[in-house]
Amino acid sequence: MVDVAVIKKNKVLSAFTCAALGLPGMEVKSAVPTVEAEVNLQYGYYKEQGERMRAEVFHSDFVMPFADRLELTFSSDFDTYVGATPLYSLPDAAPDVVAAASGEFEAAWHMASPLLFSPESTEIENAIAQEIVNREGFNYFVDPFNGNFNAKSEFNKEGKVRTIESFLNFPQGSIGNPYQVMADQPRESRNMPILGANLFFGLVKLGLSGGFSNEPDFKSAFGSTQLSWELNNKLTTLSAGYGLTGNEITRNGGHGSGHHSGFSEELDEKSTFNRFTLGLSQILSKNTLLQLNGGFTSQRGYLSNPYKFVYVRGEITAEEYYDLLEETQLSDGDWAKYTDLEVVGVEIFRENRPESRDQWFFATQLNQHIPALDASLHFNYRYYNDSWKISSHTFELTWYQSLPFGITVTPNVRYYSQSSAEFFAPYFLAPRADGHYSSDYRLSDFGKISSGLSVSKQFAKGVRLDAGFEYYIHKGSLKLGGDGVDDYADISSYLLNASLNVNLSSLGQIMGGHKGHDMHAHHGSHPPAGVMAGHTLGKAGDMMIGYQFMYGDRAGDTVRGISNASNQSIVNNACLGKLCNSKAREMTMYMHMFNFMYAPTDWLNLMLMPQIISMEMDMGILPGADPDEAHEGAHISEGLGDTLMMGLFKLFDNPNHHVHLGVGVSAPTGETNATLSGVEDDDLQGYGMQLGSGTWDFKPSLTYTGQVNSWNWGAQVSGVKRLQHRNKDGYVLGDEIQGSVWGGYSLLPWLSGSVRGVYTAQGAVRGQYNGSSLLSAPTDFPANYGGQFWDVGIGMSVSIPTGDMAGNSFSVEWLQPVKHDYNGYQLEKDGSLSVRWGYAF
Amino acid sequence: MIRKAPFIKYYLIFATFLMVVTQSGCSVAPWERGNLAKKQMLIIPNPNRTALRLHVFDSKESSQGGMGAAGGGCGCN
Repeated sequence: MVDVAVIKKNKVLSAFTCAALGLPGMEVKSAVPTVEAEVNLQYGYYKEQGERMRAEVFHSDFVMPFADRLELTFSSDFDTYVGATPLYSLPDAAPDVVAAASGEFEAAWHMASPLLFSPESTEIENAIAQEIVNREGFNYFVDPFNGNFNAKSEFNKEGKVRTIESFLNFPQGSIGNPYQVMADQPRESRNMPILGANLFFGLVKLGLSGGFSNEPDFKSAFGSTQLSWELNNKLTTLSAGYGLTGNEITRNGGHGSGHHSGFSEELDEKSTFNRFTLGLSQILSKNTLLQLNGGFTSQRGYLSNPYKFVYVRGEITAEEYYDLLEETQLSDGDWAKYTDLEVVGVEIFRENRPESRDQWFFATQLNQHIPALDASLHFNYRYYNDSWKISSHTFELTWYQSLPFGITVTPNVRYYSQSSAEFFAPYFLAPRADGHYSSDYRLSDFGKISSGLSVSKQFAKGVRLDAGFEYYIHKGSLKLGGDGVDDYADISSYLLNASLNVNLSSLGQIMGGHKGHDMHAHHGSHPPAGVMAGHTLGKAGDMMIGYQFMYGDRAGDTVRGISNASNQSIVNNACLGKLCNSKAREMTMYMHMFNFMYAPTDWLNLMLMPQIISMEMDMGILPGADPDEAHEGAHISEGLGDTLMMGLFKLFDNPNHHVHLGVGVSAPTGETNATLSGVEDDDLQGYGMQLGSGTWDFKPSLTYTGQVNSWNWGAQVSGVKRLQHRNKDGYVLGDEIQGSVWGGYSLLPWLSGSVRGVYTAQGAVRGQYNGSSLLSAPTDFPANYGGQFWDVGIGMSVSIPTGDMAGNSFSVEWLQPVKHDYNGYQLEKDGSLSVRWGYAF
Repeated sequence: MIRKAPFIKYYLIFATFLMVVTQSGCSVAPWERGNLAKKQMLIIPNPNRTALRLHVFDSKESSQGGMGAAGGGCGCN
């Protein structure tokens, strides 16, 4: 009997256990797929002090469950970065001469040579001559055969070698703090899509992911797999992972092609990383969780940073410099006789790191929940060590505090300290036996303290907003023990982030059936995809998130007014008093607009629309142009555009007719001085390639929509009025007015087609860029912008009234030019495509 | 370079530690894991912010790994 009772009790216990384990969210890290589909969007901004690097990161991802065993993930990152970055450093603060030599090798010599053999150095030469005379006696210079005075070649050589030597030695005269020479990093961008899948087999989960990262000079492809296994009643999770990364580092040879101006040898190198990790996470109590992780990474191949230089005294001796200078035709590569390093200037070389690196780490995280405060404290520690003799300690404390109204506040403090690589020095006063050198400040001894705060607000409807800030102080003296390189790498920086998380399925569940039906009335008459601010939400409390993609292309002929312009006419007339040297051959634009709408009352909707723009323009040289003045090839500009904030007021609303007024303001968040090379203060790209207007703009609109049975129609008048006379760069874009009329027919309850006519009038650019511009192509002139445009749009829209996907709407529209009358000379428009997705809830 | 003897010692200490750790939690019944299931008790409660920070750290510091990073590329000057 007793036995039976025990067995029964155990059965009850295991039944409870199973039931509890089956509840969603009752496990720490459960081996079941996410039940809910999720979408995440994040914007990040990183900035270092002064003119140094700044970067923008746009991230999006989604998770989608399929059946019970599979979950798919996709993420996409788009970064742009620009600013000054340290190139190399020198022993003291009088480095102008050598610093000037950081360009092309020959140019470097030409800059340095006058110092070696100029009248300024005659004094040194005379002194050296006197010294030689004192040493050898005057007879040394007298030809023993004919008694004539003869400046022997040995004397010439010794004198010159010693002159070079004294020149090379000058930076060592007063060794103070290292002097950093900076280089401008042109604007560059990186794309990184990653696809992943998680497979679930009971207590075992298999994760697979793969993706690539694409930069102009650094391509990377990677894949990883992770296996985790829950055991011990799901108290313990063991995991093991493997990742493989292949990198390709390339650079065109020659002068200033893209990345950093200055001379560079052609580069085409590869590297491979193999990463192994092991992990254990363990529930210690009902409020405590511990995770331990360890890993090893082997890196092989080209591991140097091709954009970092080093100063090495003595790698090439004064005598060797003399020999190099004696060669009448000095060409790149002659130095290979004397050094394995790539010479980029006098005593300046490209850095050279070992071709192998083994990295080890051990990391731990402890999560402690404090029920009385509804808060959790996370403690992280990591120890890292590698074969370059870098070791580091990282400590972090993070406090997650839940507050009423779905708000979580998360302050954190982090400390990081590392020792330097064995081949690191700010500068090298003697060559190293192994030939490895780097002055990259990231390989130096330093410490870093940072602190940040993140605030998150969970809205009832499965929408979460997050915003965070973190400030970093990076200093040599902050290293553990304080023996970092003083002042060398001292820099402060900050990171901002804002993100939106939407749980799609939970929205669907909350909405249920009848509300979806309610939405139907409004969504059935969705205006075509290209119409902005064309619809409103049903009632107070409704929200919508949306995404609109726009693609536009201009290619082919340059048009003046309504007819094609000949090259001759462009050369003579399009550049206002100057001869044009180049013209645009093609321009493509991609716009990503994110739309957030909220109805605080039945009659008012608030709308926020940030956007990301990416444009590319291909320039060609006009016949007979001066190639020195012309610009040819593709230029890009990309980043955050202007941000639209709008209020939509319902003026009239019945089942058949609806009128609303939009009052919008566009904030100048987009860049207005994108340059051809991407380097700041260089020549401006055309006005049409700028990402923003640079002015606060007023954007009113009036929209009417109607529907009867399967038919719907509508009309909109909208405008753009620049509220400032000029932007900070001295110009202002033209004002705009647009009228549009459409009709549509619902072929099926959820599918309708539309036809739209659009008229747009846009003014030319006024004022003129107040910085440097080539003024050699029609796009460089304000008068060649704007015009009057008649277009026809063909569209289709799908809206889902009920079911799991209720509230989703999707529409597409192609806008085809019919008649265009351009101001001045402009590249012909081919048309544009709008794709819009919206989710109302 | 490789310190064999201490390595084995550390391994033994670590193994003992693991045994203690993995046995200590057995008292936590599944229905007592409500707090552990909270979002703030996840290993990475905010994956997007974490990924962004890791990208910054990987670009500006010389240590990599251990914090759950995925991805590659440079984006790092």
